[in-house]
This record gives sequence, C-alpha cells and structure tokens, in this order.
Amino acid sequence: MKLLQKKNNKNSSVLWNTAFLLVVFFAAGCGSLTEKSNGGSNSRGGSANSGSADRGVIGAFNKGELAYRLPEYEEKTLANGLTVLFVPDDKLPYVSFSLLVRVGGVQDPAGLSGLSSMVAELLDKGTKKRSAPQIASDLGLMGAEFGASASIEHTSVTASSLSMQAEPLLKNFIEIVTEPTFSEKEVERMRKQTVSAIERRVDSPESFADIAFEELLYGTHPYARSVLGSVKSINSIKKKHIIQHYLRYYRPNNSILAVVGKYTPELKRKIEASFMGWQSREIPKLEFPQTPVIQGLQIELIDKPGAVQAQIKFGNFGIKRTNEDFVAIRMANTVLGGAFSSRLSNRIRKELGLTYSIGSSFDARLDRGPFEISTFTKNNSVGQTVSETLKVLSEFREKGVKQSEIEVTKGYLKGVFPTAIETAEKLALNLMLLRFYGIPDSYLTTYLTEVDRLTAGDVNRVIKKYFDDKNLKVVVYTNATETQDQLQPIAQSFGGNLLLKKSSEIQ
Amino acid sequence: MTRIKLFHLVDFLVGCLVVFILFAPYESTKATEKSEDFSSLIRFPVEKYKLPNGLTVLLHEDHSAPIISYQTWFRVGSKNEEPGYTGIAHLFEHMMFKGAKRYTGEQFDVILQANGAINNAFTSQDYTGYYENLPSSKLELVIDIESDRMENLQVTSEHLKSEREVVKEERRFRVENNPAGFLREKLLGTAFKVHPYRWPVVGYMADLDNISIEKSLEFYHTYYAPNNAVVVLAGDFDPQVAKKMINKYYGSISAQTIPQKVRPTEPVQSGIRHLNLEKEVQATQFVISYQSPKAGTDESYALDLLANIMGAGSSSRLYQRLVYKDQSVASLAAYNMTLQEEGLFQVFVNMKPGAISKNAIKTVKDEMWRPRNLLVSKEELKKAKNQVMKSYVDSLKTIHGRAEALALNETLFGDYERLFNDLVMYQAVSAEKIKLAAAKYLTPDRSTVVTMKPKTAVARASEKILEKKSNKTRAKKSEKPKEEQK
Repeated sequence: MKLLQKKNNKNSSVLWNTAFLLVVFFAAGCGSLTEKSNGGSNSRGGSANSGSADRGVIGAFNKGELAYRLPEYEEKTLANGLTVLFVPDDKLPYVSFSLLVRVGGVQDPAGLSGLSSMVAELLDKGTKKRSAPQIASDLGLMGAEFGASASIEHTSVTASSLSMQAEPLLKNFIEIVTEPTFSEKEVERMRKQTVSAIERRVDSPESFADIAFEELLYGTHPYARSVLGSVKSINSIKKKHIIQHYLRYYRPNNSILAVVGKYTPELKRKIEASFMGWQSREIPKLEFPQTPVIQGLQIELIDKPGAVQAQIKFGNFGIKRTNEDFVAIRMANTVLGGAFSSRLSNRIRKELGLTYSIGSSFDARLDRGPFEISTFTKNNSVGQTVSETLKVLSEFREKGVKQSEIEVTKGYLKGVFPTAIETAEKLALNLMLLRFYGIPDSYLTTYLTEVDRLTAGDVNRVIKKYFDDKNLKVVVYTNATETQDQLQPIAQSFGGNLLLKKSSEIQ
Repeated sequence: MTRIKLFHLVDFLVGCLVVFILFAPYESTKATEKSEDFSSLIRFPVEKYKLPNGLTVLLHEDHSAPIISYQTWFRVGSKNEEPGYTGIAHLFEHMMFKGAKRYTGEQFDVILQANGAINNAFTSQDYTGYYENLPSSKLELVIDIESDRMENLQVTSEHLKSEREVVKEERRFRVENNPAGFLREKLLGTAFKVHPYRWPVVGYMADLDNISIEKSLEFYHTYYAPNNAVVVLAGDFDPQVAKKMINKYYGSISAQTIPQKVRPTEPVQSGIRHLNLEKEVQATQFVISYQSPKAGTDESYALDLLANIMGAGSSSRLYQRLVYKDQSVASLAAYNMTLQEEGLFQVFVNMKPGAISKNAIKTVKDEMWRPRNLLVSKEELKKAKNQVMKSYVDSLKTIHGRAEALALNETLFGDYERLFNDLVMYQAVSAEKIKLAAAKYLTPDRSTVVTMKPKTAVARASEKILEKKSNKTRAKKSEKPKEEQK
C-alpha cells in the first residue's frame, strides 16, 4: 500500500534517481537500488524499430552489436527559448510533463541557502486562480501526481496522470509553473515545515552524514550548502527573496520540458501554444570558485548520542560531467565500488562482514562533484572499517586493475545499459540531463563502443589521475565516546587530525 | 546485492498487489459495467504452466527492449519461522548468493556481473524472491544459475559466520539506528500477539546468533523446492526456446513435501493497546493501527481505498487537518497492510520537533470515527480510485515491474489473474462498503497506539547509571527492559 501514499508528492524521485545514472555512478548497494545502469544514448530523432530484424525491437541494439539507435523522439525550441522534448509511449495510458529548470542550491544567495528549495516547494501552494488545498484536491481528483524539488544544481517539476486527464493536467501544470503567488501565509507555513525537516534530519543518519560530508569537503564552495538550508538561513528568507529568485530563474530560456506518454497531436499543439506566453529573460551566469585544497587525512567525528552504528563517508573532489575521461572513470569506479562484486564490497562486506553496504561514486556535476566512498558499521568496528577501506583504496591506486576485472566490468556496463533507457520516461530524463550538462546525444549512441574499447591501460591511467588515496576528508557520524579512540590513531598515522563536532554545528 | 530493498518492500510488495487497480476514466462514475474494458487496457499476455515436479512457470513476452527479467519466488517467509530462530528466512536469502555446484562461491556474483545482470533478492513475511534483470541473450545462463542454486546450494559455516555479521549490520541499519524502523517493529510486536507476524522479518539480534549451519540447511531442504516456487520470465525471449530450457534445467529437480503448518489466527482484539517508548530522537512519532482483514478479501479493497482517503498525499483528510491546518505534524501516512494471513490498517504520524502528540492522537482517533459513521464523498472515492489506478499503471511500466506483479499474485494466491481482477474489485467498492468495513474493523477496541518520544533528561541520566553498571558486569547494552520484545 505504500504506493498509495506517494500521491502528489515527490513522484519524481524515483525517476530522477534513475536519471542520475547518467551522472552519478554509484552502486553496490547503499540506499537506492534503482536499477542503475549508465547513460543512455542516441542520435537525434532516431528511427524507431531499429533493433533485431526479426522482431522489430524498438530502440536498443541488435543483439551482439555495439551500435545503438535511440527510440523515436522529437525536439523543438520555442520562440521564447524553451526546449521541448516529445517522447511518445503508447504502451500504457499515461502522460507526464517534466520540467528541468537550471536553478538549485548553487544559486542560493549567501546566507539564504534553501531558497531554491523553498521556491520549488511553494509552486503548487497557491496560484492567482486557486489556493493550495484547491490545487491539491484538483490534482488528487484526477489521480495526478505532482512534485517539485530542487537539487544542488537544478530543479525538477513533474506532473503525471492517466492519458484521459492529459488536458486538465496540462492546464494545472502551466498554471503552477507560471502563476504561483507565494502568499505570506504559505511562505510562513513552508518555513515552519522546512525548519522542522532540518531539525529532524539528525535522526536520518545516512542523509545527515551526506550533508555533513559535503559541508566538510567543500568549505566555502557552493556545493557545501545543504539544498534544504539551515534553520538560520530559512529564518532569513523573506517573501521578496522568493519572488525575486522565482522571477530570475523560472524562465523558458532557462528550462527544458519533456512530454512523455500517450498523447494526441492536438495536445502537442496545445502544449506549444500554452507555453508560448511564458516570458524569457536574461539569466545570471553561474560561476564557481576554486575547490579548496585537501592535505592529508582529515576526519570529522560528529557525535550522535545513542547511535549504535556509524555512518562513514570518505572522499575528495571528483570530476565535472564534461570530463573527457568520464566513461573510463566510470569503469574504474565500478571495479572499486560500483557493483556488488567490487573490490570494496568483496573485502569489507563479504570477507570481513563489517557492513551491509559499501560503495563508491563519482557525482559528476557542472563543477567538480564529490568522489565518495560510503558505508556504515557498528561502533566497535569503526576503526577497522576505516583503515581496511583506506587499504583497499590505496591498493587500487597503487596496483590498478587486472585485465580480468576489465572484462567483467565491460560485460556489466554494456549489459545494464538498456535498462537505463528502457522506458520513455527514463529516456526523456537522460535526454534532459545531457542537455543540462551540454553533452551531445551521441554519448548515448556511442557509449557501448566507448566502453568496449577501453583497455586496462586506459583505466589505470585514470585511476592514477583521479583516485587520490592520501588526501581525503572523512565524516563519521555516531556516538563519539564509543569511537573516538579508534579514529585518533588512524588520523595521526596519516599525518592528519581528528575533529570532534556536535550535530548542532552542522549547517 | 545489497538485498536492501527488502524490508521496506515487505509491505510494499504486498501493498502493490492490493493497489493494482481499476482503470476508470476520470469522468466515469458508473464504470462497473465498463471495468472489463478498462482492465483490458492494462492486461498483458501471460502463459502459465507447471512442470511435473510442481514448479509453476509464468511467461510474459515483450520485445520492447532486448532485456529480460527472471524472477524466482518461494512461498516461504518469516511467518514460517519458529520462535528462537527469527530472521532465518532472510539470513538464508543472503546465503543463496554464496554459490552452488555449477556456479561456485565467488563465481556466482562475478558471472552475473560479467553478463550485465542487475540482481537482488528480498524477504517478506510471506515470500522470498530473487531476480535478475539482464540482456535477453543471457537467458540460458540465468536459467542454469537459478536452477543450480534451487537444487545444489553449497553453504559453509564460514559463509554463515560472515553473512550473519552482515545481516546484523542490516538490522542495526534498519531498526536500531532507524527510528521509523524501530517504531514499526514495536508496532507489529504489540498489535500481533500470537501470529508469527509479531516478529520482524530481519529477526531479533539474539536469534540471529542462534542460527546454525544445520538449521540453515534444514530450512533450505524444507522450503526451497520446485513445488514451492514460482518462476516468472518476462521480456524479450522466444517462448518455445525458453520452455525447452526451463524443462532441461529444472525438470530433474525433485519435488519435496512442504510442511503445511496451520498458524494460529490472531484473536480479535477486545480493547485498545498502548505502548510508550523513549528514544534519542528529535521529535515524537506515533502510529495507530487497527486489526484488518487479510489480502484478497472484499473488505481489504474498501479499506485500501479508505487508507488513501485518510492519509495519501496533500489532499487527504489527515494531511489537510494535521499538516496543513494544525501545523503540528511534519508528515504522515496511512496504509492498509494486507499480508497473506492477517491485515493491519496503520496511520503513522511524525510530529514536528517540540510538538506534543496528545492532541494529534486525539485528532486521528476523531477522524477515524468519521468513516465508521458517515459516508465518504463521491469526490473522495473517485479520487482514491483514480490515484490507485495511476499507481497501478506506473508500476507496470518496466519489464521488471510486470514480472514482479505477476510473481507476487501467483505466489500469494496461486493465481496471477488476481493482478487483473483487482481492477474490477476496486471499481466495485462503494461508499457504503467503505463505511461497513470501517465500522467493522477500524474500531477503538481493535486499535493499538505506539508512541515514541524524545528521551527526557531524566531518562538519559538513569540510562547512564545503567550503562555504568552493565559495563561493570560486561552485560550487553540494550534497550530499556520495558521496551523489550521478547
């Protein structure tokens, strides 16, 4: 029945997780087991019914071949600059609208972190025509799902319903995106709601440790900010900030719309006509400062009284999404900690039984996103888990990968690829993200070939270049009195230090 | 793999089954006569047959993408466990990844990985499922691998030793270090008194230490038999070829006698139950549950829709009242958990930090009075049906989703057709039926209230004293005695 509770909320989350396959290569287990695969691919407007000759497989590849042709889709740019992707899917009677807006935590002004998130959350909380409860009720009656949420560098607004309600859904969607009112009453309500969510975060050890890790890693760089904000910043946000931020970034020339599902040609025309009235405006340019320098091993132990298990995050700076070694790094990471049979999982979970889950990831972003190893263990194994994990990383860097590992990983990356773009929604999401990061669609059509031609030499070169085992930051979130003595000697042996914090010191 | 989903999925999967719904157009109010048409929109072709050894096979062809989902579900879960050995069904599920005869030890995971498989497994109260999603060219490989571990699993005490530790970390992750998981475990332990649903699927920590290699093997030989399993193959394959392969690899595996133990029926509750807990958390959480009917009963469909009306999404009754108007609550959810042998209607509420739960508990109780005494509105009923229908469509978009839905229905009911018939069942629910079901089941006498509050300074201080003592005696630090389950 859990499905029943998701209504109107973040229906987008699953999809967006899946989409990140294209950007984040994680795996091996933690948290989400969304079928991750890797990017998708394609050449523009690719023909349908490529694939195996006998059965007319749509999209996808001929068995045993590496060439890939994307399913059919159409792309248009409206006069106001809005990019619209139409991805048809007649298999089930649904339609969905997904809008990606180029605004997120990185655009939050200094002292006002959480602003992009507040704007997104408030979109459906009242328009010029209707109140928040009316909108919720109208969408609910259609059986529609609506979700709007900001991430660190973009915002997604999604709505979906059965095809029979496509027209009213479109009407609702446009009204919510282009006519929100941000009433004082709703802003105050959302402020309280957000503050309580921030205060309750400490009880979700995994996500709290993630926030603390990025804060420690990035220092003054905008990636250090929590998308949700801090109690202080949320209390500083005024209605005028919300309206300014909305007017500045929610523009057609700053957005990509994907329309997916079973829709009519008439609906297509209506979509184009309806969005034409949305005014474009020049968007402030985003610039990133340098990422800070990391020297040695810096461990931050954040105290959580009563915790019986420690969340542990290690890492340093990874790569930009446009990095030319993206696919090779993905392969290297898969060997290290990006699949169930990875070096980290084999050693820390299977051999030593220290954890239920361990994985490594590169979150490739507009600027250098984090490289992160993530795991958890009982308090009295914290020292052992940290030192064994560091050993695995060091050996990986020193000795590189074996040819046999390359063969296994190639099979894996190629095999899971079709799942990443199995449905029209997953394809649409990948296409949107490629546009967001400025990567050509050929990434999808050449991906299999790229994977196939990588050699152990290529992978070992990127390991030396991108996997630093000496200069790392580590966050441990658990009961400090039970773990401090285990961590102190590790920090010292790396010539680093152990910093003790309370959870209330994390922004 | 991380075998992670599982515990959430426990209800979740069972839930899906019930959720799979009707297909009525937005405007239609008399869709009953049309419901068959609607279900045909959702219906997809399935072929079912049985091997002589009792293995049930479902085939669903779909060539949209060059992939297949291969699922093997066994009719065994934590309800088949004995006290003292709770968690064995789930721990054993982990052991199934340790290799068999033809695919030994580490090879098992490496071979699947090298062949592009995404695989995992999950355990619930009622079933244990394994799946591989992989390129369609690897069909024979996956059949070979799955039939091998159904018949020839090779487990050693070393495997058990390390995997036991992994599972204990999983338990800490899901229960001890997770307030919501902790609350859920306490709820099931309080609402169920005699049925095995009273213990957690992950098992109690002490019981995990009890499970020996002999016990594990006994479990395997008892329940992992072809006549206790359902295999679902969905996606891009040729049925004639697939049937030959399935016959070749599974045909020689012998059927076993599966013990048909009758479990005690949970007695009808005759008074409200309360449990108050304290934990190191920022805010109070509580759950109110009501004994409800098991999966597949007529009344369960009505209560599913009512759960939606009460607590699904921002237009639901409880959300509007407690989150939106009252603003004392951070989030809430209502759902009707329908397991194979019992049900439990639940309302979970997360208070904002500093907010007192007393009034919110009263509000939930008051709101639960309404459906027992008044009809839900036409709009609310239509909304619930549409939302559930939408969930149904969403869950069937992927090959994996369709394979899972078929396996679930076949495993629980011996009839995958339930998946499609559910559409009709939900469509037939009227406001009167909801009122009747609510009046019968959602009564104060059948309810349980579990409240978990932030630990007070006094409680913390007394715990420290206890801790010191227990350190001296080398005793294991644990929850306070009054919270203990067993």
